[in-house]
Amino acid sequence: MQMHPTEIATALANLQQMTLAIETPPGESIPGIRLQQMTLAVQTPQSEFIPGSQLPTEVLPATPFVFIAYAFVWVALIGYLFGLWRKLTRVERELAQVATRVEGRRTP
Amino acid sequence: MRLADRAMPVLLVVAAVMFAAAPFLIDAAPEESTMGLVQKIFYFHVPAAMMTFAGAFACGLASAAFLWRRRPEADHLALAGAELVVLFGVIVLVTGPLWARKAWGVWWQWDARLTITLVMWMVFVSYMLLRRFGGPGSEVLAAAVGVFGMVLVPFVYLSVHLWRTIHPTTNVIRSLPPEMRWPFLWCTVAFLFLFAALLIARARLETARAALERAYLALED
Repeated sequence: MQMHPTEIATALANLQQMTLAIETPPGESIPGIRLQQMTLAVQTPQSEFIPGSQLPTEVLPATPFVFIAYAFVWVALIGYLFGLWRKLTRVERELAQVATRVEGRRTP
Repeated sequence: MRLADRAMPVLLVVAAVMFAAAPFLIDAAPEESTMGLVQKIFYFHVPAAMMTFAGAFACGLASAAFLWRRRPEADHLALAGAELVVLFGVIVLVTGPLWARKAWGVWWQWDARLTITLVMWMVFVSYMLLRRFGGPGSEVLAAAVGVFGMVLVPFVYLSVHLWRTIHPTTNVIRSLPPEMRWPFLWCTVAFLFLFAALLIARARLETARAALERAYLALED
């Protein structure tokens, strides 16, 4: 897999920052210096300057995610409550009917 | 009529009123600085997670009581708790990825918090499947599963502190500013009232089913 020169430059720049962050005694050669030279060698010249304000700031809009999340919660809770209420009503009605039949059998 | 049965409609009405007011409070709460609008999923996501834990504790403790004393009421409560874990767990597992897709750029991440939450939810799904298809006597085995599921709760809660994870830690709740804390507390109490009402109603359904079974047997004799 081949990397684009800008990707290599970014990766090296990150590595350089990490290397330079390590404290070394003054006057000694550190790997960061060589990395800096390598970075400059592979970095392609920039042909234009783009203000940060013109960069895309938000790729995904948040509103649909929030709306779907809240709609799902409401539907799930109301659906469960409705289902539970139906089952409870049906079972208690059936229980009352069967209980009446049992009582009717017991009374002579 | 038992006290719990009398309290159920009251809890339900209060929860309904609180849920109706919740969107206005959430809307009025400020947007979080880094995540923006999508962070507002938090106001339903976290209380739902708390109710998942509450359901797991209800199921686990009632299961332990059932294994000890074999009282059917404990079994009915355990079943109700497990079903609520599945319900509120689904809410957590749906709203979480919706939040993650926007905040992290992915729907799901196999990190400690998310994975262990999914495992806990699946344990309670197993409990429900066992009760549905396990046949006579499955309630004892299911009770053991319920206790095991409850044991997972502390691991889920502490997972963000024990392991490296991208999920926000539990300290976020304590650090909330007042204008975010009050809507969150409001939603938590609304979820708590609803949870209590549903737990009572679901346990009552199971008690009614057991009574119906006994009544049919009495009719056959």
